[in-house]
Amino acid sequence: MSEEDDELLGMFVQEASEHLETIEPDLLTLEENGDGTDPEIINRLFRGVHSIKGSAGFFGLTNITKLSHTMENLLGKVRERTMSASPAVTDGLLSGLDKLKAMIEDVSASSSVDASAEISVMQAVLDGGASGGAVASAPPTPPPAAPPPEEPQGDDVSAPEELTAEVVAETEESAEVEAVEVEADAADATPAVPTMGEGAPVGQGFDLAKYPEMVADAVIHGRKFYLFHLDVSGTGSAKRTRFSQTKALLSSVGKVVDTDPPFEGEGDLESYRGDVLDLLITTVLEADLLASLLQTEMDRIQSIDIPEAMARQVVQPKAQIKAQSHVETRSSASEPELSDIEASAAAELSAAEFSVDDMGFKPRLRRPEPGVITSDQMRGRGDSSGGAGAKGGGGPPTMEETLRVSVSLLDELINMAGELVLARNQMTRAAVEVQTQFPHFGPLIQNLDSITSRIQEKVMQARMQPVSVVFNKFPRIVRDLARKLEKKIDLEIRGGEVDLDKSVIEHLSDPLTHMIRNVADHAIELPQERIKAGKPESGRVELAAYHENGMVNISLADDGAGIDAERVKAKALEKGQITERQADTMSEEDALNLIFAPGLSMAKKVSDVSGRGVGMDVVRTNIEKLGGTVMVQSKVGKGTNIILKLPLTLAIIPAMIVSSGSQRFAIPEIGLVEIVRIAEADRANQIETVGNAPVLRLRNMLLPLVDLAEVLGVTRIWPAGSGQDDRRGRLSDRRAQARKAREAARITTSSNLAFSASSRALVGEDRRDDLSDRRDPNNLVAYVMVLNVGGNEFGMVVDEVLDSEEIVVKPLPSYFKDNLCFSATTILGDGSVSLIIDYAGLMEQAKINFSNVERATRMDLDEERRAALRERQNIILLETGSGLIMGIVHSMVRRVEKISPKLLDTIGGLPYVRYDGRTFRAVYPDQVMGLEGMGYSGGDPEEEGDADLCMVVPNIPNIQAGLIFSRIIDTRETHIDLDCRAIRGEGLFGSAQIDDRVVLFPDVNTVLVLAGIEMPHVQSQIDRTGLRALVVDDTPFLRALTTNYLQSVGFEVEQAEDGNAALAKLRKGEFDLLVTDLNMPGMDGFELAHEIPSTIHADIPMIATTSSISSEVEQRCFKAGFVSCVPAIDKNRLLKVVSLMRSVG
Amino acid sequence: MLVSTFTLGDLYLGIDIVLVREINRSMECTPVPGSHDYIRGMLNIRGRVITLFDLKKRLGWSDNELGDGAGIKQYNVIMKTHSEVLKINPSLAETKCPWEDPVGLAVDQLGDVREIVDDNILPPPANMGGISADFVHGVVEFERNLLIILDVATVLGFDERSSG
Repeated sequence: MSEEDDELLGMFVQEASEHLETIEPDLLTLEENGDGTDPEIINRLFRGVHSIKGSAGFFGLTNITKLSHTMENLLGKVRERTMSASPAVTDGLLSGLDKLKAMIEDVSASSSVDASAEISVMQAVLDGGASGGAVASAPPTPPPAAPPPEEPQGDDVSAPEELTAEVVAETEESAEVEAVEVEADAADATPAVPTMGEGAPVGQGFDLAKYPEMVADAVIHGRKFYLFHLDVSGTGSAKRTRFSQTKALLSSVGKVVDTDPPFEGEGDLESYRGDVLDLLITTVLEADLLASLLQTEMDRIQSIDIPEAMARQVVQPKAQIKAQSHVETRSSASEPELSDIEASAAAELSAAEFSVDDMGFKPRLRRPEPGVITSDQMRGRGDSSGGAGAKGGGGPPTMEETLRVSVSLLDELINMAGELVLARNQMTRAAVEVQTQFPHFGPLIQNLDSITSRIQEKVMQARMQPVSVVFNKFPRIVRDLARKLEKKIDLEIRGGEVDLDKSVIEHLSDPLTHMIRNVADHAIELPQERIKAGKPESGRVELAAYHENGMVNISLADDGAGIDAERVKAKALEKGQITERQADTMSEEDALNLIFAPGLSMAKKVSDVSGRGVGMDVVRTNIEKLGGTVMVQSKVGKGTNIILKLPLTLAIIPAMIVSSGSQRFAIPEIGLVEIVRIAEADRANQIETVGNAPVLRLRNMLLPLVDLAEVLGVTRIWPAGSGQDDRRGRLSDRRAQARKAREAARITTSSNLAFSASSRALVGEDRRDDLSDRRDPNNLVAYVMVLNVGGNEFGMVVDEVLDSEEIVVKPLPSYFKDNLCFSATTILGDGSVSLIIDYAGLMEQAKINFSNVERATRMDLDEERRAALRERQNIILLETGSGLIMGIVHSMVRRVEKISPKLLDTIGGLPYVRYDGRTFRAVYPDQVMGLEGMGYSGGDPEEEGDADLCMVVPNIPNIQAGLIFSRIIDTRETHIDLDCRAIRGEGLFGSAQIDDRVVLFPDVNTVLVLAGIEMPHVQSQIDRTGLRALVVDDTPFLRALTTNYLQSVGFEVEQAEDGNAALAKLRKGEFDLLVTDLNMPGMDGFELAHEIPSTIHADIPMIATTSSISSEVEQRCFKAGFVSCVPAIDKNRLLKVVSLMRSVG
Repeated sequence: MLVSTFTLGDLYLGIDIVLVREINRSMECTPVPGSHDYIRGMLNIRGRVITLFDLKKRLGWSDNELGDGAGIKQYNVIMKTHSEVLKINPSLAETKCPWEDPVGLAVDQLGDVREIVDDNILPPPANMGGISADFVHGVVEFERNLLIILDVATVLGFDERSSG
């Protein structure tokens, strides 16, 4: 019995919590809209509280019952419009709700919770409401029971008076009504004029005390008592019919207990001369349902509360047993004739059965639980099962039928669906052979295939929950915070319907709550500050969920103060989290990300809401644990937007399947930034050693490398004990092993070899020793998986990247729990088990914690970043008339003019533009270069007629010419990764991909020459044919540019991408000129200049190029021995310097 | 009790059949780098990931003792988990079956299922070869063979902190 009780209680808690979840937002709506609230919302509120009360009463949870009762009373008043939904009301209700929540969360302790404060607050509102503002909002519809005035009956005096009493009763505080009800003796209420002079609600002259058995029964079965004013106007037979109709209608759900005036047989009724007959009804139905059942107005029905004293007499456990036995007699169904009570029990049963599967509940236990069968449920059922049960007038919007299923069952299903997929895969493979014999087999397999996929998909969906589960609690939190902080905040929630896996949802609540609190506390300004800043008084916060790239984004945007990146930096600096140097070079984005650093709170003062500096780091940790990422964007004064990117599920994740040694591993794609393929030929350039650690040079970044096989010891053949052996020895062993493997011709040897070869480079062996490998005919490759762990990037070296798969995550067996490198296991498509790599653990295992190893490279990295920042090029993206996209470096442009086509003119067969009193030669770069045909057809040629054009005037002195484009697309600061081979053409430097579009980079000088424009250039007189120049620049675009400039005057040019490579070239060959970039990774221009005297080119003329020239830089250049320092793209200056040199040397 | 028997080299071993979930031919298994050497790896059996123990290595047999057995196709004795045993025999689950994760033991050859009278089970003799007494629940004399009943919990590293 007690076990069953526990189970029932569990059900109650679950249901009550569900009700509470809807109650809260509804209350907030009520608070917001006041009396204008949709009556349906108020009804829903009422029903919710009511059903909690009902169920709690069943379990004898008196404290919960009392509190919910008071709330119900208050809501009842609001519903009846006898009390306006003032803030006092909603405040009282909200505080009551909180207490109720607390009690329901810990039901067993609820009896010791003191809710008297909340109750008395609400009671005070109730009391005040009766005398105060409530009267103002009298019942909106006049009582329809108003008797027709032409009735000549003598009783017509009593009828209107009854009505007045009714109104009075309704405005009366209900507890009082209750008391009066108990006191009022029904006997006093004679059929004649009731004694109502004292304002007592005499119309309801029934005393429940007179019907103790009925009451006891009602308490057990959760029935309620109502007073129903039956309109019995008309003839005696009409009265009788009306009454018997009512009885018949009620028969299935309750019964008429008594009438006022009382009468013996129905025959007596015919002689009754009044127009209204008061009936005392007991039923399981709620008042509104009862009203619709009886086809009458709500006003005609009044609820009569069971006096608590009486309810208490009905001892709970006894009641249950009684109820149970009652049900048993019912279920045996031996009695052919059901009493009224049993009839109502039958109604309960049918109601209960509607929701039995809904609850996943044993029917036997289910039955004696009347409180749980709420009108709400019945209504929902009624709607979805085609109106069975009660009539559902104005119930909640049709709900989809749902089942409660345990998560473990779902997990099993997922497991089996996964198995099914594997079986399907094997089947498909086998089918290939079978099909040759049985051609019909193919379609069968295909069918199986598609069904299997759908099953898996659906099963996964079953674990999904809408994010609204989490979102719904925020309106309340924001409201409370806004009050507390005296701010005005409008929270808008969008995308609550977006589904996420249960496991993700569960872990989302805390981080989001924290973020919301932060926004309310720091981001949104006080109303007066907002007004001063010219913003609306109340701050806007938008919480939205949406799908993007197969992930779910949750964005929290506000229009508040924004985050001042400089302040964040200052703070981080003050706390010693970053160095001054870092602060200087840090981009705004990086600075904003510092808010996620532990211990950094931006609140100016610590409040109890936030500001203790724990939080945002926890947010990030939590989100990353979920496989998600966090991003911040912020503009001071404008607002902040924090975006969480979350995977849909943790149970199935996208992963790369890689091999290392002979084993396969799964690498979650979350955190995988990119994959770099390192061919043997480029290895020397890309991998080097900093300190003792191998690093990959990747776009001006130094990336610490971790060799997966080495960390895991996958191919190690020595026992673990001899771990101290020489690294090189081990590697050669590995290589030997790899060779053996190749001889065995079982494993893809090339990868193995490549791997060991690259790891030789990794440990800094002299690469020239590696000739044997170099000569290997196999195209040796290794792959570096660039991974991001908590903002730190590192590279993981693997042999091969095999596949990208959606893998089902299975927990790691406990025997491997102490293994840092693996987070879980999965089963691959071929049925074999594979391990999922845990990046963070791997990092730890490999002992590259970034504070240690990276610190050694930090300086270097800082320098790199600085260089990287500087060497971003500002480019203007333009579209030609033929739809080609061209990019021109900003500093090559003097100005861009918007010109009307009308300004175009043809003089002597050549196009000119008259602009600003001057005439410019118009050059169509696409035509000049003969590239028109390459444009994509997406352009809109019709538009060309009168649309404005734009003219780019190049930054070349004494040139009156402009390049004509149809429009400017964008200006962009970006790295240009120039490809000089893919698209070639005279006057073209090359092409690059920017935003997935191919952008052509024209050589403006050449274009102008091609267009037949005389270039008033110095270089036309100089000819350096036969001389060799070395151009050193890490930016391919600039390297190509400088090379091009020098080639135009006859130089034979060699290129090097950094100081080291340049030195190597200088040592080997003869050069007459060195042009080097100053900012380069590895060895920069100054270092290179420093090294020059040690080479055979001790007095080679050196020119420095830089994208940011300053007197300081120039001075440094002279000190370092450079002849001159010129802006990187300034052809004229460069060539001028070159020409001067000649005259000097 | 019923005992499922098998051989390991020259040893004749048995496990309470209630603890055995299934036995299958040894199959491809995925090694787990960095784990104990006596853990051979992980198997997929109908979607369950099973940790496979190499019983010989677990018993501490040296390479010589492992000997020529390397070529033989072995069998995997897959054990029930705690929760599975709990449904059949709660007291046994509490005392003999503490492991929660599916696990299997690699053995050489399968034997018959033997009925054993509990009273016949003797404490392990001191001079047993090839197996430490720690791993032995008891021994039974059987047709002049000594059937060693394994203490699976200890084999799997329970009750023995050091091998966790």
